[in-house]
Amino acid sequence: MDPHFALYLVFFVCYAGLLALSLAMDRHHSQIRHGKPAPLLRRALRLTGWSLLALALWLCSLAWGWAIGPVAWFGLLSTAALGFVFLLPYAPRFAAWLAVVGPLLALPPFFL
Amino acid sequence: MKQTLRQSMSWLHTWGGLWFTWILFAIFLTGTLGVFDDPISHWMREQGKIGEIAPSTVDQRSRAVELGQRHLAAVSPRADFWSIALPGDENPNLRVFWRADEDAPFKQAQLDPLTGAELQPGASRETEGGHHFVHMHFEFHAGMAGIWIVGAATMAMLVALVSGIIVHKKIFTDFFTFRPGKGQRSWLDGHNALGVLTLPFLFVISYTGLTIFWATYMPAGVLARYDGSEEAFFARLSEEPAPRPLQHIDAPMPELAPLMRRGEAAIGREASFVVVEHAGDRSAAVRVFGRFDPDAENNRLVGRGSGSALYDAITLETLDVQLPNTVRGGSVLQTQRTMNALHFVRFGGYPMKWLYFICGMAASAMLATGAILFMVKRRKKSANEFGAATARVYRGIEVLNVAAIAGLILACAAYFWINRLLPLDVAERGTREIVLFFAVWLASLAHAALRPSLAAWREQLAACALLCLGLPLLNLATTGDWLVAALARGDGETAGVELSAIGFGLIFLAMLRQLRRRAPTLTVDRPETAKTAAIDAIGGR
Repeated sequence: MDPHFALYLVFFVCYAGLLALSLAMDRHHSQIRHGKPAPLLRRALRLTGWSLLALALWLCSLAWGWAIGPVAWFGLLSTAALGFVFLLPYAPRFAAWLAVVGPLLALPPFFL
Repeated sequence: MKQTLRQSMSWLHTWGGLWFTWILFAIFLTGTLGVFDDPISHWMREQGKIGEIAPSTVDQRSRAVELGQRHLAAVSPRADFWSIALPGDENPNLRVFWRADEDAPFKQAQLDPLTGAELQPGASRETEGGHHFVHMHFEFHAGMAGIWIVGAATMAMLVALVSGIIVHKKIFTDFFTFRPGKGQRSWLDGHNALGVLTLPFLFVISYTGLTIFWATYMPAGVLARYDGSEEAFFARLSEEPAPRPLQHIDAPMPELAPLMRRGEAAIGREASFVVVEHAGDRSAAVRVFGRFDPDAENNRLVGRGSGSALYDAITLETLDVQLPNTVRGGSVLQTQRTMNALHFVRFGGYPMKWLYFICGMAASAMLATGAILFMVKRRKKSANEFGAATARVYRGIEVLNVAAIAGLILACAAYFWINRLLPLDVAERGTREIVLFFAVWLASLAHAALRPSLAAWREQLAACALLCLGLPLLNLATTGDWLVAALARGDGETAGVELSAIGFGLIFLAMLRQLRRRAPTLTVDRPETAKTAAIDAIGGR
């Protein structure tokens, strides 16, 4: 995998994972949607979140190998979290949609 | 008085953090800028205008070594140390360095690589470039004393990290929490979020920073077994030939160019430096260093060396060959080198450098918010820690906050301006730039001491914004090169520096806007500022 593409992709995988984990918490769930998440939804969100973070680690190992991959994973996890946490209070809806819009923006180059 | 663990840790975090935060902010900010030392040097030396330097041939390099040796033999025939730096991407000139004996200072000269003529000051934009930030980062340009200060501060950083985690009441509940516009609450949220979210980076960078100088910080073993000679210790550890003591017998130096060719053949890399120890003495040895190749085995963490070959200068016998990308010295040294690599981001190219840069900036912001939070808390309600002197101590802390945070940012931005504005033919130009950098920093301290604190913050941030946003224009005015031209020729290093400057300028503008919006509530919180503001308004100052 090209490291620049990996950088972009893994950033958004981490971002989506963190978004799911935050949606499983009452405070942030009410910020983005309304009310509290139902118990089943909460469990599903946690599972999705952690799975996405694990997927991100695996993608990093594909792009950089197991020596540098984990370093890249920690770095991307931190930057994605910083982006999410400091965007969330200013534009909660947009912060959520970014998890979908961001990866889609990477698609056009594949069809050109 | 009996205290809970959290209370005592809170005391440790507050005061341990406060007294070291100014030094730590300087270490983190300059270290973060130092991630991009090469692009910064590239911008400062106007290399964008020169364009790509064609790779040199082995004959050109031999000729350069010959010219370098001729110069060194003329200025210092018997020397403790000679070094010939071959022209490369970093510097198109041929440079020679020497030191007459162990106690003498290093001297250097820049030569024309084709004629060997010494270049006079003014022939090029002589500068330390991005190396200035790297040296600030690990030694404050203060040599061994600086290394010890940085080491102590780094220990304090690790203490603050651990105590900070213990003090943090709701590390998981507040993981994603930032509540802006709520005064003290927001500063605490910001400080927590910046710290927690970059925690892996913070631990790794602080710990690996300490282990780089392990032999300096923990000298007991070397003192006991090697009479304090690090050189002897490392030679033994990495299975190199033992150091060769001076014999005080004159011996003529051989031609270095053929040795350079032999060295290049032995390590399979182009040479970057040819170094001679004890030139002119019977014990002379020549070491040929390979050029660092950022793309070779980019995906490995440990031991990305450039290779070197060592020769006896008199018998011309090969003493040692270390191939590129190999490590000797067993698992201890490999572990230590891995940590060095983690600290220096010598792997993965620009994507990794950007991740380190962003995390480093977040860490600097975490330190800054911590220092500011200390005062925000106490502006509201004095904690009276210093009895009658409390107000004066608070004022001192506030002044140091402004100078250490806004002032240092200002000095860093000013360094780029100094590089473009200082005349080219000034003697010792590179050093002069750094002296002026410190002068700007000192001026910011004087300014912070003379102005009311809110005004000092506002004015210094405004100056930072102005210098950052004006940088591309300054470059256009002084060198005729500008952002669009740099982008058009695909010069990402020049464009990257200027685009980042614009980005930082916009951040400072946003901070100023925030300060202006918050100012009315701040003055309510702070009777002292309200008073000075009132004095300002009626023209009392």
